[in-house]
Amino acid sequence: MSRRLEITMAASEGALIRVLGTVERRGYSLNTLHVEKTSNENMQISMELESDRDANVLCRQLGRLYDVQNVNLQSEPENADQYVETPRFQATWL
Amino acid sequence: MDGSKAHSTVMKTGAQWLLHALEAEGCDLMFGYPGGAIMPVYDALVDSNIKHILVRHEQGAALAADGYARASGKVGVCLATSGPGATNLLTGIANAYLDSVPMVAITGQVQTGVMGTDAFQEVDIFGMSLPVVKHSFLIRRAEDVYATVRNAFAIARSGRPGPVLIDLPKDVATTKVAASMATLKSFQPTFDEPEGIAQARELIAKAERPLLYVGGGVSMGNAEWALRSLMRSTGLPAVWTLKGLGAVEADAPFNLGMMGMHGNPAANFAVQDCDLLIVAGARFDDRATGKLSTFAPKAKVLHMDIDAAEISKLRTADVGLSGKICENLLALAQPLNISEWQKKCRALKTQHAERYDAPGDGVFAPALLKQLSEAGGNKVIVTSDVGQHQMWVAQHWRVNRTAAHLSSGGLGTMGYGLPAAIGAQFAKPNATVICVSGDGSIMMNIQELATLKRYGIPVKIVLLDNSCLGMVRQWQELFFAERYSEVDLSDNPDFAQLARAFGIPAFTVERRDEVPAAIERILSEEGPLFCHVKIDPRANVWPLVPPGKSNGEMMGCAA
Repeated sequence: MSRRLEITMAASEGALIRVLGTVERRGYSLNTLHVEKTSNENMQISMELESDRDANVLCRQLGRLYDVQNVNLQSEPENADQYVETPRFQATWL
Repeated sequence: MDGSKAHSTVMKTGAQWLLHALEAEGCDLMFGYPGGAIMPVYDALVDSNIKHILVRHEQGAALAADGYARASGKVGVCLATSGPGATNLLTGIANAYLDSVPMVAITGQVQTGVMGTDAFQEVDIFGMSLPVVKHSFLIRRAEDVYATVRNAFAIARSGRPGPVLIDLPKDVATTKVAASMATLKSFQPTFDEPEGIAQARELIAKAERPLLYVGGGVSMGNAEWALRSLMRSTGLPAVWTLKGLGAVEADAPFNLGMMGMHGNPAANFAVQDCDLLIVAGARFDDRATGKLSTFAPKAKVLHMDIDAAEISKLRTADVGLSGKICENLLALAQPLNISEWQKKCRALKTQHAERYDAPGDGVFAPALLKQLSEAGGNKVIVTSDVGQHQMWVAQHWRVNRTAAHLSSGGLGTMGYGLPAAIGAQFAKPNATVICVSGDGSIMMNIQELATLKRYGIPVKIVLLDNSCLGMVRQWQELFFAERYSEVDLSDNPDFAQLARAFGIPAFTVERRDEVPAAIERILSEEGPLFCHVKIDPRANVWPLVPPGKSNGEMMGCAA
């Protein structure tokens, strides 16, 4: 099943490869990938990925990474405007 | 923020800032091995109050830091140089990652100017370690050293604990600067589910056969007392994983034992029969569940874990509670009417009680371990290596607190036992630390006997020697038509002589009637001791869930 993820994260050393490595190691393959540095400190990643696994679990696995600030999971690409879930999961600084 | 100062006016080298930050974190002990790129830190160490334990292989340093962390509840620290020093740490780092152990691993790196040029002893340890760390830092500015180290500790111990790597280039370690002091206090991703508690209570209230499935997260969350309180107030029966051993009191009336591949049949049958599985700090590991699709087939699932990413990862939870497990456990207490279920569990426990009446005069390892643990009592911390002896320890050692049983659960690292015991002994100097090992595992880190000798560490080693790689041999016997392949270790060295060569007193036990005297010597002798026990090479670990089978299909037990 194809899903679309949008990730906001710190533009720190290794952050991108950490996120992509997590996606692949957890059993998802990438169809598309777009990376954009939105400021000196932050970057935005959009990706379409494919897997039989529950993408909500991947969202949480990404969301627990230190560099990741937010993860949004959308439905299949053709319905990209419709968010099926915005995980309640966010990295929080205490 | 750490205090009111965002930036220090004091000038120190990066290496000095590193040690200053370690001291600020309360670190008074680290395990390591020096080498080229980390020499500035070792130079600064001369003026530090931190005690450094020189191991004989970097893997020993990481595993000792792991043992120290598990026994003390603090963050374990290990230190190595670049290249092979760093790669030798990796197994220990992965071990900590798989078992959620708080650790900070510090590696030297070549100078920033030559990074990426295949310089001498250069490896990309930052990249190599990515899959097995909670986080990692490559420090490129000496100004960032202090804050980075403090942040590493905060990340390592916050939320679900884990290892954090700090890679420190040599020039960063030698540059003298005023450092940034801005630091993170903690890092804990949250996953709020405010209605979860009410739903969880309702699930429990409606269940006729509820069962607690206890994992290592209970002790990592300092929630043993909450679990025991819940069990006492509700009468909930409990089963546990390898890492959950000790969370439930050994004598608790509804402690059904370890579940899973080598679990107690009472535990596995109860899981298969329950209608609600209350999962506390466990992650449905395949060694615990057997064939997942047939695991607890009649049960709804209430899953509690500090790490939201574990909930519904492998088994969909009817209710998931992330967050502090202690608070969640306490919130579940309520009167339950489950007397029929309790009666059934009690009957299962009686029916499947362990037996120690093995025939013959040879040493029966399960009986030896039971007797030794009972004689040692609660002052003992046991570490085990990986293999048959590890499962015998889990099955037969009586443990009343999780920090008294250190075992490599997730990674299954042969060679864990001895360095972990060294770490545990430094964490708890007054404890009797016993390392139960096998003749395969002990050789993986045998060099650490020199560390025992150097520091006079009074670890007792009980080596169960069956002259083969017992667990692999057992599987080849049962599942590979007795086609034995590369499991024979009958040319082992004379272990007692080997230990003596390291300066460790040693003796050998070959018969069952020698066991009582051996136990007395193990528990009474001061200083390190090596007890070499010869056991039957044909001995197997029972019961056993065959690979790919349901936990209800155990070999070696009555149905």
